[in-house]
Amino acid sequence: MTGPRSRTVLTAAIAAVMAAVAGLVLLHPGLASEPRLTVAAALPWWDPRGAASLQAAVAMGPVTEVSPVWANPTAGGGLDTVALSPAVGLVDSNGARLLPTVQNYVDRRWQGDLVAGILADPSAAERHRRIIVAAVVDNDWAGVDVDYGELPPTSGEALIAFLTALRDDLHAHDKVLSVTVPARTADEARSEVLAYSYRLLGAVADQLRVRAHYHAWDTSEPGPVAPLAWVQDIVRYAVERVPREKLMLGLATYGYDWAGGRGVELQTADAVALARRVGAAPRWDADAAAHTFRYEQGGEQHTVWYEDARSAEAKWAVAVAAGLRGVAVWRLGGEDRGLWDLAETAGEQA
Amino acid sequence: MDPSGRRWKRLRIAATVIGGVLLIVLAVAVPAVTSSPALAGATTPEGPTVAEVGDAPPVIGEGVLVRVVKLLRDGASVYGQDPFDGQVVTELSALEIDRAGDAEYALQWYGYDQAAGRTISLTFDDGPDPVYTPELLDLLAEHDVTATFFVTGEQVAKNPDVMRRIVREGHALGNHSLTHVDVGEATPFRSGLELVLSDRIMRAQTGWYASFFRMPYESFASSSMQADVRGILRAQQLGYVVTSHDFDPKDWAYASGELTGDIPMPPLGVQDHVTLLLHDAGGGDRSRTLEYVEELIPLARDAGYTFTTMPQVHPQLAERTGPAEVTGWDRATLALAQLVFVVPPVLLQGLLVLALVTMGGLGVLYTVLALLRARRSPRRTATEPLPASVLVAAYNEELVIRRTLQHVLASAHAVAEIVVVDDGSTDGTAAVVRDMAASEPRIRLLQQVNRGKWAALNLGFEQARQPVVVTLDADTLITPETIGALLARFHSPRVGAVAGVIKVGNRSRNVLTRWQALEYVTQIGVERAAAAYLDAIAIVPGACAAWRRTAVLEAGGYSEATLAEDCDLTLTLHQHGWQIEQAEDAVAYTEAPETADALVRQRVRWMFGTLQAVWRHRSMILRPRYGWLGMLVLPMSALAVLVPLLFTPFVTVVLLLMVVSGGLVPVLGYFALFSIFYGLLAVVAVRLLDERAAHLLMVPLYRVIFEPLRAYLIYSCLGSALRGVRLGWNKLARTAHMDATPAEPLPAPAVPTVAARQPVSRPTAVPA
Repeated sequence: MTGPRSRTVLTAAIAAVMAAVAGLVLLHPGLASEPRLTVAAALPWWDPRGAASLQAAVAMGPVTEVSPVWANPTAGGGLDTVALSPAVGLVDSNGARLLPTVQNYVDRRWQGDLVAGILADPSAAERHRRIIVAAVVDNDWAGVDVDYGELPPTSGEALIAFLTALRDDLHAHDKVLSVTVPARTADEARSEVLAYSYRLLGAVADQLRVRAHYHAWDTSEPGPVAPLAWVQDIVRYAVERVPREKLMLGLATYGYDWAGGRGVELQTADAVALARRVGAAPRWDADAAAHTFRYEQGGEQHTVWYEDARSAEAKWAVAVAAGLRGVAVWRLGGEDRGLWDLAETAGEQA
Repeated sequence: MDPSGRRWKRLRIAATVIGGVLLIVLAVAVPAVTSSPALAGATTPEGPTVAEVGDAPPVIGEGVLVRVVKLLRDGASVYGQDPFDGQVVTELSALEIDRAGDAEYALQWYGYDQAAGRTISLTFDDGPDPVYTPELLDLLAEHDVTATFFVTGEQVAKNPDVMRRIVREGHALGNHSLTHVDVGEATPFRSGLELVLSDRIMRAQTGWYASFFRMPYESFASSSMQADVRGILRAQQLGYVVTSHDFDPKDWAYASGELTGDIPMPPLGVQDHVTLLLHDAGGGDRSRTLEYVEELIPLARDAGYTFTTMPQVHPQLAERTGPAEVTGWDRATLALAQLVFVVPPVLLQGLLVLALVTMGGLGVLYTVLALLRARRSPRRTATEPLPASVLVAAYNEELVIRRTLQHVLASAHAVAEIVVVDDGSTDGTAAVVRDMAASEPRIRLLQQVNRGKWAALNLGFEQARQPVVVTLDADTLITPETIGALLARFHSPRVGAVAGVIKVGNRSRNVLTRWQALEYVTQIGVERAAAAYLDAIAIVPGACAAWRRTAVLEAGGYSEATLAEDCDLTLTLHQHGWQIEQAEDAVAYTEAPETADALVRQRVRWMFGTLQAVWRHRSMILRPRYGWLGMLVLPMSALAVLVPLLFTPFVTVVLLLMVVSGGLVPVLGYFALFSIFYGLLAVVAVRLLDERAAHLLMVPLYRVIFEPLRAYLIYSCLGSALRGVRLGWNKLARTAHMDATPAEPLPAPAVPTVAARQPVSRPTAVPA
């Protein structure tokens, strides 16, 4: 072949390849549009500040999902419910969606065996599912968020079967299933989280909220609830197993005041007020991305670790960098209102 | 348009663009088709390697489903976790903890979670079979029994009706790989492909899916499962549950006669849940299996067993089967499978029938025509032979020209003149001719600067003084009768040219020359004789022929447009309305190529030239005006190239597969069939040309040489055409080897000791 001729052929071939690639890129769904981060906020019934916080958060605009804590499962598959705060009426008018949470955290502990008992009994599991679906449909919520912690390791299969059936029922009514799961960083983990197969849960649920803030708890050693490196490990583990467009990173607005081996939970506002009251100067721990201070009261040494908007900013950036669906803020009421500005800024800093 | 011409550039660009688009489509389609539908769009998970699991992982649990689990230790508890999805699926009992020791992985049996009372699951592997599966379905329907069919993708693609019936009648399906491959041995790529493609074929064919798998060749012994870790891991990774069985009566061994006596019944009453392995296909007579099932059904029912499908007793399977959303990729896979498994046997049969019919039909037709022509007596001959000039074009023929001219001078029919055109030879050719001309006034020497053989011949035609010109190649030896015989065929003023009979002079040299000798005999003795009967001779070989001078000049003489100037000229004469004859008794001896290399070079030029000439005269094809030539001979010459061009790779692959699967015998059978056809043709040709029977000894070898040569020629011509390369005038090293022939009138001239190089002429009318 002569030079010009082969060049013509080559040009034609390259043009064809480029045209095909361009076509594929343009036709591929999702590639061309700019993703918007979903911001979920949990609304507790036990904190009267929640309603006002919700008002502020919705007014500031970023919240797209609200999950009021709505029910606890009871033995036999029933539900113990609370009336939703009238404040949730704001949600619809602002275009956010309502995904009430059913949670097995009762009497200050996760009732894992109770839920495992329901799931293991086919008739109880079916009853449980029907009650949830009926409530979602009757109230015309957008869907439901299932948050069952500390299930025994062997109940994972039953959980998946239950959630699959629940998801199918919800989808039949055009409702969505959100699932909140404890944090994991490896397949080998402490037995409290072994029941949660991210891969299977990610396939079943419409979205998966990872509670990436349980590194410290009331009876643990004092420390940050969501150290940054640990959060990064969680995201790294999760994105290999869950589609990014389903994955939401949990952000904490709280901490603990530990004394004598026992911690008391504090919202950001409470911790800041406490520091002022005892005259302590909170120190920013850059590694943990959290604040900490110590004080003495009644002869007892107190250690406080808490999260604020600055902590959330660092973790929000992790979510943005990993291309996740969004963040799930635990919780409204006493949170650092600076949080609601992050929707505008966190992405740019990522 | 000329196959070597510039306009092929467009075709090449089109081919490049199509190739590029195909590549892109493949880049998209291959990952899409090979991704496991059982993972429902999720990425393929990472997991342990076979080495990590080990040769003999501890075996725990009970049941007929099996999986690899990772052992997680938490205090006193040990959990088994699916290593791919991270799901904890079991907690080990104290006994199992003991058995597991400190192993990192274990093989776990599980299942029968939903089995109540006594259940028996009949499972049938390797099907569906077009004969036995319907019979089995009749039997099962009669007794109201549903079973589980582990089908291979290949059989599913081949038997759509049986598959539809299995689904319609409420039986369960399972995956048994695409081609019944041993996944314990196969590479992960292969076993993945087998699983996924089979899955897609099932979806597309039945609208159902079943994301569970039974490994071909498995047995439920622990050692067998340990040996199959590779396959189990692969299936698990791709989202398939691996299913086994717990009773194997080895029905296949009774069918094949390896085992004799009664096929053993399952331990009814001893085992509450039975999963029975049987085969409804996979070679051999399956009626023993059917009898067994018929006998078992009442026995099992009397013992209190309920017949179930596997999904009915294993919820893990129930949630992995159901109506499928069939995707375009599934349908594409099914189409591909049909192309591979269904079309080839049908297409191959079609091609074989077509080949046998064309070869047989044409062979018979040609033979009959050749015989008719031979019996037509008395043969019309010219009452008074026209006076003739002999024309020899020579280029560097110093070594052979004298011998050739001596043979001409010895002709019984006295020629009026002998014109030798020296095409600018660089050796002593001109001197030899001049020397001979000094004592023989009929010899005229014309000289030109080297312009090629076609130009030398045209000069000779212009300068010749007689109405008929006999062309001979410089190395062709004629008999004393040759020229007279040629001239005798100008029996009518419509005859424009007469073809002589070329024989291989160096036949006894080696197998290639013997092969060519046989080919010349059959081509000339039967095919060209038949064509002559129909006035449809497509090629008058310039090496030994007689031409009406005015006809050639009127046609414009030889042209350099093709590599086969004699074929081109012959077709032009036909277009001008001239009749072409053949003279069986005008024999000339030529020297055939003795090496494969030389033969191939010669044949590439012939085939390419003939194609060029046919293309140049394509307006004659299928034109009734041109009689049998236009309606039969030219279309057949095009088909003779096109059909092998399209199907040779396919036939080669299928034949190789036939050899692999069925041994050499069936292939040799076909081969023999073709050889017999050809042999009959050769017998007639030998009789008609009055040749020696020794030629027939080459018949069995004929196709062994012919098929590869033809395949090579066709593709090398296609390559040349696509590259747009003009073939050079391949020159053949002459050896001057000639067998002593009885017809030879003169003592054989001294054999030159040095090989000379000369232009290769076309000695015969043989299209490759």
